[in-house]
Amino acid sequence: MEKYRSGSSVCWNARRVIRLTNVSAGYAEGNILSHIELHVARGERVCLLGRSGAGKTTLLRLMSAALAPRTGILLLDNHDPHVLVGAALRRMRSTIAIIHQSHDLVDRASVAHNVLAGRLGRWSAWETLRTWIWPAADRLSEVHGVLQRVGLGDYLWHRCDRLSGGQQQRVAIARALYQQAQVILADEPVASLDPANAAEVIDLLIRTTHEDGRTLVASLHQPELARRWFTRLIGVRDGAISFDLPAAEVDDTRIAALFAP
Amino acid sequence: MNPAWQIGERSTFRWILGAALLLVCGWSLYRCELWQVGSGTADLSLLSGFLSPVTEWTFVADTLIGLADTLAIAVMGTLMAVLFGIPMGILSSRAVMVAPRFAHHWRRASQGWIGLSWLARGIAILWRSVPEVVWAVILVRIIGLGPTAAVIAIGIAYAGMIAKVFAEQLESCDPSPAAALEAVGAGRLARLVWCQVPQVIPGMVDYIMYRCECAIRASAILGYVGGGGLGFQIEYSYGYGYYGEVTTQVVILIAFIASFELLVDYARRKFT
Repeated sequence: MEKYRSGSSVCWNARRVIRLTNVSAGYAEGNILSHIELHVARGERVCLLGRSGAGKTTLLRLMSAALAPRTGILLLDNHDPHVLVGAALRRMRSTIAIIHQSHDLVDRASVAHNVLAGRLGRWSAWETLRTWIWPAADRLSEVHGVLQRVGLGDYLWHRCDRLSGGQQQRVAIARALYQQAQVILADEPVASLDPANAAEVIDLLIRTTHEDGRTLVASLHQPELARRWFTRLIGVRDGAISFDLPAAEVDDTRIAALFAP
Repeated sequence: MNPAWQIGERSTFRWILGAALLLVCGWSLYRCELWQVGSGTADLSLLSGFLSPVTEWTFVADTLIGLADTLAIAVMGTLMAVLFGIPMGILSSRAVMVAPRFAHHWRRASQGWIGLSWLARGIAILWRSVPEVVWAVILVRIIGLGPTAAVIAIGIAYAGMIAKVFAEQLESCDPSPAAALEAVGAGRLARLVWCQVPQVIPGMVDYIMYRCECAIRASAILGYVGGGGLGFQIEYSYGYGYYGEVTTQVVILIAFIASFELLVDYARRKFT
């Protein structure tokens, strides 16, 4: 816990950045996940596969500390996130980026503001207000650089609700990149895109996280995309892990069994 | 569950509701004695006075000065209402005060913030549940005749309304962008400034403009209880039986409110 309080540099040297031990979790209606054992090492590119309702989103919510486990142990970078409060909690959150299927951008704000928002966890109240009104030039140039990486270099001051779905998804990725989080969690990042756009966005996600040496955990329901781009596939079915294998070892029969009704 | 039984239950309830509604309407009709209209007590001779409006230039100029005073009262009153209402609305909004991760089990959220929220909500209810005319009557007694009492009366009553509407808009807008900002580590202030306020700005600008329009009308009425402005002039002319003057004053007021509405409409189409 001390680490999160001291200074701005958070060190993620531990090999296992996400560790779930015998975790069960769910909502008021009952458990969604039961007895999950899952370790993710630093720099891995993991894909969660499964039918809708299998528990992929709940698993990602656990990894982002948005949901506390009912039983079992959840460690993010060797720390239990649910004992943290206040500034320590905010600092821990700033090291995890989440990209949602529904983008979750502020529609009426500019692309630049939506990307800048990625670092809100690290700024003081004064910096938060000042950057909203008048972002510093060096910050803007950094945002511009990130937007160029996702192919939106010319859209800095466009309003987000005037962009297409694919462009909005890229803005959400740009926010995660600007956040400089060590772990990027992506919940169905391409569900609302057409196949060509989907492949492009996945490629972008993989390429940028690989270049920066970050950890990526994404959920998908297109097995062909998963096998093409990810190194490790995890099949989730009925709230349990049905397989956890390197991408090369996942064959069609396993996929068929995973998606069978 | 028997669906047929449910339908029967529901339609019985509808019959009871309909009968109750009819009863309330009938009782209201009886209490208001509407059938007395035209039974000889109405003095139609008054109407002829209203049909010959005063068009003397000096009188129209006087009326316009009164209108300017009324407008000034309305603008200051609305400004005061915004200054007090917006912070109260923010404080009484659960979407702001309770972190998104506690949205569904807010008993785990910070009780201090929730207490503050209830306090703001209570003050807003007290302020808006007393009509601005009543506030004006009280304030005229305390601080004397004149526009100050009218401004404060409008400010208090409308601050309560603006607080309620602002809080409701914050609560009814899409919560997921704010939750996404919480996930990157943004605090309460950051979520409010970067996400929630931008989401509700168009609705709030509309509502505040509407409140300003209401304030113009209200400040005309507040003139009657000593708040100054056009309302005071109308009361004066009416009291002395100069009905032609009243016609001129009311026509000017209507024309002004109509043109204000057109202006707001135009501005809205231009800027959103």
